[in-house]
Amino acid sequence: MNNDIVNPQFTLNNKKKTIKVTAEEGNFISKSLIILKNNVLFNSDKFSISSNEVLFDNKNQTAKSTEKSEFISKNTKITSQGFIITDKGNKIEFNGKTKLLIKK
Amino acid sequence: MKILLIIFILISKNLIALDTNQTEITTDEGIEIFQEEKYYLLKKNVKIKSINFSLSADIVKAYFDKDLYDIIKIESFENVTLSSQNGIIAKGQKIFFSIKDEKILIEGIKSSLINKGMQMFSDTSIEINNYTGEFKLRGDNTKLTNNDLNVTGNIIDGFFLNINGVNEVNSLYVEDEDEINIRTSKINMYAKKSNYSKKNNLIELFNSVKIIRSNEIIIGDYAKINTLKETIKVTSDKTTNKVKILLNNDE
Repeated sequence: MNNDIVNPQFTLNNKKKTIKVTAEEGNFISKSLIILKNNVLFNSDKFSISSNEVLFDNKNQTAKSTEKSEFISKNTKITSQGFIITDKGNKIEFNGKTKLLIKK
Repeated sequence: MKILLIIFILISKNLIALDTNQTEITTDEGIEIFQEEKYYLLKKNVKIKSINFSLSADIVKAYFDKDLYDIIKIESFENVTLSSQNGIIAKGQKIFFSIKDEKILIEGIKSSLINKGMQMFSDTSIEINNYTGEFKLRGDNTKLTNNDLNVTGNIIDGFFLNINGVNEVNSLYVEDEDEINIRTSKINMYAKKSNYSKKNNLIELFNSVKIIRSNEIIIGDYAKINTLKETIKVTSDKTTNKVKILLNNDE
């Protein structure tokens, strides 16, 4: 399958932070909906989330994945069966069986 | 071969064991992070394991301080069990647990807390500060037991002291509109209100006082019991002006 975009880059912006979104491939479903594939990474100065497939809504600034996902922040790691980012990155929801490891 | 197997098992156990500084949280239906409000919402069959405590519940709100790893307070709901390294076992419909100062509030029917020799039960609430020893029990079916002491009443407030690894009641205030009961192996006391001080070896009983000891029943409006000398002084107020002593000759 041909990719609409190679190495796509987007951002989620809210008042407090910017989350940079990168992947190896991207395919447009509609004007604002993009499927991001392979090494999809959401990166802010506080955390990163990685997955292999994410549905990204550039207009509404949301993202959703049903693939195995990993969240990493300082001394914190979350592994889950997917995630949803809403409220411009303020609210992050991890779905399915989820494990949170905290080191202090 | 056997030695190799034993070594492998020992290594595996060490790998599985929790780091001293590590907290592991698992859920069946995910985790939400509310970054503005600074809490995790943990959903369905939540299990928290750390070196200091373990907790299981169906829904948990875990509040963090500045950073995501700095959990300071836990609010847990539905079939909650909390076990702390300090020997506390708490069960209830809701448990609020402040990690830094070990304040625990249990709410709902069949709330219970076991803490090194002390047992507390209530259908409304149990509140305990494990550092200061202060406790507050409220509502129906409220009960406190400790060594040979059994206390019932709608309001039970007090302090405990840890003596040689066992928590003992140091002071107590008990109140109930209907009747309170304080029972030891030697004496059974009823009233509307009571104060107990271990330091002064004194139990005071107020209003509708009834004391049962061996074959005697003493009735009055106020009583002072010296728990060391085992003496009882009962008085009445001016309106009734009566103290009754009933002797049971059955034996």
